[in-house]
Amino acid sequence: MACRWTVGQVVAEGFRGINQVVTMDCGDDATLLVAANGKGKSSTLGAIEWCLFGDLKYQSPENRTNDEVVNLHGPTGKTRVRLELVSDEGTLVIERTRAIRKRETALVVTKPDGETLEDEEASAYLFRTLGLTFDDFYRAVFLHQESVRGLLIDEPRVRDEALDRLFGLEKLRDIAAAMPVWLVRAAIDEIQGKQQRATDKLSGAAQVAEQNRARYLRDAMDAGFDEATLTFETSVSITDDLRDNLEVACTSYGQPAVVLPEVTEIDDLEKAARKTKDATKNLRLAGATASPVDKATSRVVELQRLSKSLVAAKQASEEATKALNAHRAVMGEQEQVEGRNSALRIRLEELERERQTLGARSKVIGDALAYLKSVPTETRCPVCEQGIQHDHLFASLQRRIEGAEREQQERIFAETTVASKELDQIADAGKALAKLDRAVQVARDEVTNVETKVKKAIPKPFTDAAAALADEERTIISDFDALKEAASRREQALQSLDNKADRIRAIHKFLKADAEFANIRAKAQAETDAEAGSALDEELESILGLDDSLSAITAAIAKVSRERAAGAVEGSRDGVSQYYKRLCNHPYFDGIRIEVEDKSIKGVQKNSYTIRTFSTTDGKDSLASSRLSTGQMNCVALSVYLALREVLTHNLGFIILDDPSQNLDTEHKEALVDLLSELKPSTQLLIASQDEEFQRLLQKLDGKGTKTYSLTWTPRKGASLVAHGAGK
Amino acid sequence: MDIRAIIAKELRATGASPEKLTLWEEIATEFEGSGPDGVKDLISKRVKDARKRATKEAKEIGEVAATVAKPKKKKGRK
Repeated sequence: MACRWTVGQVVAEGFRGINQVVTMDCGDDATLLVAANGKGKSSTLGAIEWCLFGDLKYQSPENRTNDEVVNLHGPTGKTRVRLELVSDEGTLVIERTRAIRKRETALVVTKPDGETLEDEEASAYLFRTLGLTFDDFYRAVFLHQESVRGLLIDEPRVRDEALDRLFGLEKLRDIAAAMPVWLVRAAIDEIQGKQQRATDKLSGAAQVAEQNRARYLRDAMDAGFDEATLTFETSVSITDDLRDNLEVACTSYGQPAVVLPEVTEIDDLEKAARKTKDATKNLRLAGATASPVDKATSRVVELQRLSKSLVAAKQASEEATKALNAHRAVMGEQEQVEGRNSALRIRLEELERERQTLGARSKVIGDALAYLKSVPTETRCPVCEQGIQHDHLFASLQRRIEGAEREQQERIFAETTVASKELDQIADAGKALAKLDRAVQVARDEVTNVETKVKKAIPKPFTDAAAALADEERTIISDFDALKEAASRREQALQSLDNKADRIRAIHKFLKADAEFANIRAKAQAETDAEAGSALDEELESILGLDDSLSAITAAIAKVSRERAAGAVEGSRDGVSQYYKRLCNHPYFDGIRIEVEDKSIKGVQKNSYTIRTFSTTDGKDSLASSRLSTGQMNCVALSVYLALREVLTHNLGFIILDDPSQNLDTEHKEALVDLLSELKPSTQLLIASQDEEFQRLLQKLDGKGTKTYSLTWTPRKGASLVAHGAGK
Repeated sequence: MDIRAIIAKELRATGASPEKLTLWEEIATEFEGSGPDGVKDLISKRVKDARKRATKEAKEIGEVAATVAKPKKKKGRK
C-alpha cells in the first residue's frame, strides 16, 4: 500500500491575508482553525493548495495577473509558503515563492532523502508522489465553500455546474460551452446565401453578355462585316489603313499630323477610333475657320446688308425732304411766317390799349351814375360846380353805358381772339418746320454714314454706292460653285475617315462583348462545375467540415462527460447514501440518489443532474431541492464530497474542510462532528470554522493528536495564529 | 483526468478523421493555454477566415458580373 502523506507544518508569509510569518504545526489527527470571518482562515488553508499546485481553484482568472496572491503589505514584497508533508518515508518539504507583480512561481522540493528538486522537475515529482492532479485535489481533499454553494442553489444550470465540478467534469463542460457552434452554423447559412446570390448574378450577367454580343454582332454586320471577319487582325488592318489616311488628310489641310497608337489589345481600338474622331472634328473646325466658301458667303451677306441700309437711308431722306417742302408750300418760307407773326403781335397790342381806354371812360360814367343815384336832389356837378338836371343826366349816362360802350368792347374781344389764334397757328407751324428740318438732316447724315461703310467695304473707287455694291456681289457669286466643290471634296475625305473610325468601333464593341461573354461563361462554368470545385464551394466545404468536426467533438465530450458522471455517481452511490443518512437523518426521506442525463443547451450536449431523495421504507421519492432545507442540502453536498473522496485514489492522508457547517442546525453539526471523529484515525483533518457552536462541538476531536488555533488579524500584521487546547 | 487523451480516444473509437483529431488537439491546447476564450477565438478565427474568403470570392464574382453592362437604350424614334 502506498504511503499516506499528512501535513506536518505550514509556514506562510505574505500570502493573501497573511502578512508576516505564520507557522502552523498540524496535529497528527486534526487541526482546527477557529475565528470569525475575515481573520485569515481561508488564506491559511489556501496556502496549502497554492504551495502544492501554484494555483488557487476559485480565484477568478482575471485576477491572476494582479496581486491577489501576494500580500501588498508584505515586508519582503513576495509570498512564500513552506509545507512539510510527513509519511512513513520521512518528511517532504515543499517551498513555493512568488514575487509581487510576477506570474511565475519558484518551487523547491526537498525529498525525504535530502535531494532537492526545482520547478518543473519538482512539480513532476510531486505529481508522482501525491498521485493526484490539481483538479482532483479540491475534489478529493479540499472541500471548498464554493464547491458546496452551487448545490444549494435551485437553479439547474448552477447545480449542474457544481456537480460537474465535484465530478471533475467542469473542463469538459467549459470546452463544450466555449465552442461557438452557432457561429459556425450562421457562417454556413451566410456562405450558402452568398453562393446562391453569386450564381444568380453570374447567370444574369451571362444572359446580358450574350444579348450584348448578339446586338454588337448585328451592328457590325450593318457596318459591312460578316462574323468570320470580325477578328482582331481585321481591326488592326483597318486601323493601319486609317493611320495612313489620317496622316495624308492632316498634311493636305495644313494641320499638324495626328499619329494613331499601335493596336496591341482590344481597348486600343477604341482609343484609335476616338483619336480619329477628334482629329476629323478638329480638321472640320480648322476648315470652317479658313473656308473660302464661308468667307465669300459672309462677304455677300455683308454687301447685301449694306445695300439694304443704303436704300433705306436714301428713302428716308427723300421722304423727309418731301414733307418739308409740302409744309413750306402751305405755310410759306420762314421770313414770311415771321413777318406775319410781328404784324399780329402789333395788332394785339393796339387792341389792348383800346380796351384799356374804353375801360377808364366806362368807370367814370359808372361813378357818376352811383353818385347821382345816392344824391337824387343834386343840382350842381360836384367837380365843376355847374348846374345839372339830375334826372336827365342820369338817364343820358345810363343809355350811353348800355349801348355804344358795350358794342366797342365786343368788337375788341372778337378781334383779339382771332389774332391770338392765328398767332398760335404760326407758332406751331414754326415748330413743325424746325422738326422737319432736323429730320431731313438726320436722314442725310445716315446716307453719308452708309456710303462711308460702302467705301470701306469696296476699296476700289466708285461714284454710285448702290451700283458698286451690286457689282461686287455679282463678282463674288460667280466664284461660288468652284469654292463649294472644293469644300465638298474635303468633307467627303473627312467622312471617309469617320466611317473607318465607326467600323473600328463596331469591331471593338463586338470583340469586347465577345470577350466578356467568353469570360463570364468561363466563370459561370467554373462555379457550376462540381468536379472542379469553385472557391465558394471550397469555403462551404471547409466550414461544413468544421461544423462536422465540432459536432463530433461535442458529441465525444458529451459522451465522455456523461459516462464519467454516471461512473462517479455509481461509484459514490453507496457512500453518498450512507453519509446522507448519517448527516441528514431525515425522518422520512432517508435515502438520496443522483441521476444524470443528457441535456441540449444551445446546441451543446451537457450533463444535467437531478438529486432525488427517497424513502427506503416505501420507495417514494421527490426532488431534493423541493423537499430539503438549505441545511439538509448542505448535508447532501457534504455527503457527495465525502463519498467522492473515497472513490478517487491518491496518496494524501488529509482532508481540508473550509467552513463545513454552513446552514447546519445543531443536530446536523453533531452528526458531522461524529462522522469526522470517525474519519480521524485514518485521515488527518484540517478544519476551519467561524461557527462558535460548531467550534464547541469540535472539542470532541480534542486530544493529543489535535491542535487548535484561533486567528486574529490586523491591517499591519495580517493574520496571526494562537495555539489553544490539549495539543498546544 | 487527461481530457485531451480521453476525448482523442473517444474520437478515434468513433472513427473520426485526422482533421477532427487535429482540431481537437488545437482546441485542447488553446483551452489549456488561454481557457474558454482561446477556444472561442480559435473557432471564431476559422469562421472569420472562411467568411472573409467567401466574401472576397463573392465580390470577385460580383465584379466579373458587373463588367457586363446592360446596353443603353437608343434615344430617338419611338
